[in-house]
Amino acid sequence: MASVEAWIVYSRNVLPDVDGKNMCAVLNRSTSYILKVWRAGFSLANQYAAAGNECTTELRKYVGASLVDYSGIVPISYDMYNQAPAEVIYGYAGTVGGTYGTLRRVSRSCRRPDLQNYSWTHLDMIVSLCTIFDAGYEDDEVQPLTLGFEEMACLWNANTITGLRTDFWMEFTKE
Amino acid sequence: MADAWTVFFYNVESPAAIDYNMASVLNRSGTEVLKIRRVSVYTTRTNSTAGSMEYYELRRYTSADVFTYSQDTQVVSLANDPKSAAPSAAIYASGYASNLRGTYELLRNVVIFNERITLDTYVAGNPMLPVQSEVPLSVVWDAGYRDANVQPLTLRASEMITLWKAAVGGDGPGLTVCFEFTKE
Repeated sequence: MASVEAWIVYSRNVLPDVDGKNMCAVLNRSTSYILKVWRAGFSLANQYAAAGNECTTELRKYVGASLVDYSGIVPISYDMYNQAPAEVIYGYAGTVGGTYGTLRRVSRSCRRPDLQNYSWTHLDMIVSLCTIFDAGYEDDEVQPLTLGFEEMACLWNANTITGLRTDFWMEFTKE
Repeated sequence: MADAWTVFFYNVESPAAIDYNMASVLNRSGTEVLKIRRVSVYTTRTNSTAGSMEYYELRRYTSADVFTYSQDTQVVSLANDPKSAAPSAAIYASGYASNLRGTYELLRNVVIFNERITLDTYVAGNPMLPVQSEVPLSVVWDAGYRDANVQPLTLRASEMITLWKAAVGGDGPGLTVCFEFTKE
């Protein structure tokens, strides 16, 4: 099967400071194409402080979705020839509307790792261990997460305490 | 099946300063397309015990060029099949940031503990070193690998991928960076 044009939305250094915050979202507002989210995850590359907290992140899929007053993210195409989907919103923060289902709810360390004192934080440095969703990846028998009109994939901060800045990302294709 | 190569940067010295190109692949061909299949970062240093926690960015540059190689270390690519015709105008180099041009996009942030591994470090010293020396856990980029549905990262003319030292983290020699790519 020929590969399909792909992009990554990389939401860098987002502060999980609010219980209920959009950390990285892709909202499809097109009726003419669909988006397939192949993988989603986070990257613990915090450089700011040694202190931190245990954080909770959800991967949500919204229907009838809306996103306003957000901070925009420019998707990075895997090939410069790709035409980025224009009728798509990529962003973090803002006000989210719609009905959602939860695909993942994960606890993660949100602390700067240090050289000693082995802890959970260190495992969250490993990219492959921070990929929290990859349905259908490497298996054509399984459908990936698909976003139709007004559907949105969203990595959602569900902390009740403030964590430290983290990167969040999603990898998707357009068909 | 496309011809494939590995570019292996062994024991790249990490300077104390930030903004340093640890390892890069630059495609200067107007006709050949390089597809980055995987990028891995290992801690395999054997030359000293002291080390540091370091921050790296995986970047893709567009309109990239290198205007001097005087401070750079260049390596050669290794073909998975010796009959493969090597890319005609690719450069594989590590070296100082001042030698690079272009604009970049951030693909990934990673933290690497850059220290010599010893037999008992898992409990006594830096606990992450043994973990980061495991090959399957060292992959920091593999979009499209094992999945033909997803396009791999593509380098066209004057595009470059680089592992970039992005924050002060001390002076830690000995990182190994491995790029796997194909040519079409």
